[in-house]
Amino acid sequence: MLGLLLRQRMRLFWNRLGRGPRHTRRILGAILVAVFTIGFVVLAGLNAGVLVERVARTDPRAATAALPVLLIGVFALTLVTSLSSAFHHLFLAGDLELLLAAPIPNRSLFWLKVFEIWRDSLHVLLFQGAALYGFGQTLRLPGSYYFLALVVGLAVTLAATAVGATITLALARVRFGESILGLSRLLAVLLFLPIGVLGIPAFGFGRSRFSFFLGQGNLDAAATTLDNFGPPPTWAPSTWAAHLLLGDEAAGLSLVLLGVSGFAVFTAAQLAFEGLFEPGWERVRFSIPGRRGGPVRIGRRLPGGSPAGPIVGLLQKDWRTLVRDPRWRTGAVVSLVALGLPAMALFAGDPFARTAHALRFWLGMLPVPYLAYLFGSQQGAVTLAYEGRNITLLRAAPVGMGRILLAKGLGGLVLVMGVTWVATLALAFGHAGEPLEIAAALAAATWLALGGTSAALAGAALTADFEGDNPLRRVGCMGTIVTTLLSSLFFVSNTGLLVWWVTRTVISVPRPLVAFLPIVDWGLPIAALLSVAAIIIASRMGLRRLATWEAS
Amino acid sequence: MTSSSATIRANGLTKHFGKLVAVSDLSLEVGAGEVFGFLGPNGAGKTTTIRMLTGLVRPTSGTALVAGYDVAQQPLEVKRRVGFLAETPYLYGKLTGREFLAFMGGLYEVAPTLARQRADRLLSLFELSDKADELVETYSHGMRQKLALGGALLHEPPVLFLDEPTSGLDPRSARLVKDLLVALVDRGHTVFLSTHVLEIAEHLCHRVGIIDHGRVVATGTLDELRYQAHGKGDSLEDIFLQMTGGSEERELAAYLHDV
Repeated sequence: MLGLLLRQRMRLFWNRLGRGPRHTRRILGAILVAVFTIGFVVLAGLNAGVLVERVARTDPRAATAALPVLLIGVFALTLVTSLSSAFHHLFLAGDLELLLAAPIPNRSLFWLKVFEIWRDSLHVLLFQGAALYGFGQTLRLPGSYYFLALVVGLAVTLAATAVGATITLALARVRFGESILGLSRLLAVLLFLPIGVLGIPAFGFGRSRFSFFLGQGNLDAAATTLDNFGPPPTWAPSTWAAHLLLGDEAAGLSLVLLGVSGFAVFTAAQLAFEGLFEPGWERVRFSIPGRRGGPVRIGRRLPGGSPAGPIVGLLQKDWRTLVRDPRWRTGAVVSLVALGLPAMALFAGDPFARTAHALRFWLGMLPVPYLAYLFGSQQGAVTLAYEGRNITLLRAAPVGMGRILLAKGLGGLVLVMGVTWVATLALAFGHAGEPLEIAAALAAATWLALGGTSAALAGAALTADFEGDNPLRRVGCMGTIVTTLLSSLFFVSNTGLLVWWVTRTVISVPRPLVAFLPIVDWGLPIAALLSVAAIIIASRMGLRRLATWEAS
Repeated sequence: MTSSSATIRANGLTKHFGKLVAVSDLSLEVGAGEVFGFLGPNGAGKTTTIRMLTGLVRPTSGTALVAGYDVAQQPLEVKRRVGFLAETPYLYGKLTGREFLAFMGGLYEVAPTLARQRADRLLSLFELSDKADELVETYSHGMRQKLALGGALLHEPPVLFLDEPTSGLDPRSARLVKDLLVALVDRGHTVFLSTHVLEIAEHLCHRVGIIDHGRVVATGTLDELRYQAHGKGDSLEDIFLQMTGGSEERELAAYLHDV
């Protein structure tokens, strides 16, 4: 039965690519996505290998100690991803009723769900594969290492997925309805935060220094940190996995221990699924009100009344939709806390305290473009993605698609601007900004938020799969690529322009760079204008797609 | 209807969703080869009852036997013998009609060759042969409904639970479904049918059950229901409105008055 279900998933994937209208374009898009994703992840993974190599030159023992740390990191990342997506696959997938009505054994359904949740962590698996490959190359490990690395990598990510699914199921048992996702995402944040914070020294921010490059001092610090961890605990499965991969004298025993612990994890997860899945599904599917009330109470808190015109009406409707969906609420919190907070924490330490005031102020604002980019890319198009098939419903109304897209953009912009303004004000006051500087920083933050939101909106309008089951995944890989390209161009050129302007104003340009002054002086504004033009062109193309898109 | 010949037997079936009582102390029996119409206003508990009888949700209390198996204790055995058409059936848009039926055949453990033959027959019966190899996302609403019904029939289950089977069908297709149900019943299949189309219930069903606010308020043949309604009205519509309070009719009248 499991084979049938997996084959059907493969068939759906293949049909999505190779059948229906414009399938050639879809196949090309998929190839582009694959190349982009694999290239990006493999580069990141191989860079981790390079890091290990450089640590090995400093201290070979520390490099070996990095292996269990890498496996723990991969386990944690997969667990975080699975906690984020398990709720949808377990309780909200569209075909659940059809599958539950069929005589599918619980075991097959369990493994199908594990596979679906695991599939969302594929990028972690790719990263892990590349890192383990780089590790093997660096330490010149034998061929058997690579085979074992593949098996261990699969087992680690599958086990993390099973644990994530079990936690979600357990939360569904103790809390009703929509609170489940909030709790699981909160857990994801708590798990992710230490990784983000611990990861900062590895990028050269340790010892209160600011460097984008890995200097010898940082490598020494990394080696010392790994050394300070001491020998890995003998009871930890990551240690057993490391023994197995390195093929040392404890490899045989480690294999047995890993087998037993893996069996225990999957058996426990399956038993939990058999006992908890159906009651959890009933609770979520039929929206049983919890002790603290359900969506109705949220609705009562929102402003009501008849909206004054279509744009206000759309904004009101979009906000209600977002606020009432626990997937969006907790997803936004995860983005902010897990990715934004470390950056804010880093710059709250005032890393440019010894520089001139203007330089200290403006360079201290660097988290703002980062947040505008990050939050703009993730939330800028959320209102459009949530519209889904109802785009056709909107088109039937006597409102131009341009105004609809404007309303969608405004919905996202409010979110992105809210975050960037709060960050700007917090950093500006933290860095003793003058009123004029703060006003200028807010204007720059608004511009960057606008750019980030528009890029995301254009990417979504051009590529989103409006019939997708999960509104948070309607902007898929292709949409992410388009958004990333547009956003990167915009943020690099516009932030570069800002930094260049500050540099020219505050400090004198170093003599070797003087010859390049005219090129940079003209090049950056032209690049900034081109980035805006690219977003406008992409938006217009997206507008045309929305105006003709038909639900099946 | 004697207990010994009942294919579907519910006894004190109750379902609570938190504080909401969706179905309360529901008892009914449906015999082999019978079409049982299950009627009720919106939100009365029809779909929840069907979900309990098909093993989709677990009853809070009470028992139900379908095709001789307990829905709570032996749900897989029940599901093997049941065909279920949901009120809003889920179809995979990125599968073709033929692929969908093949998948359903696999789910219900029909041998592949037999599943292919039955799929061809059903596609032909529902006039979908020309579109069989096109993606479901290109189908009209009625075509999807027919395909979903085909999926429920593919394993030739002895018991069929159909939630609004004629929803979205044109008159020709609706007639086809009605004729099909008659043919199935003639071959000994049992059909549990939930519908708002009282004309279907009146002409197709051997017996009818009316549920309101989670409780069965009447069951029996049309004549028996007329008797229970104290002879007020001849048609099932009149009986239905009498049994369920006719609140929707009154709301409609009030709305028209306001307009």
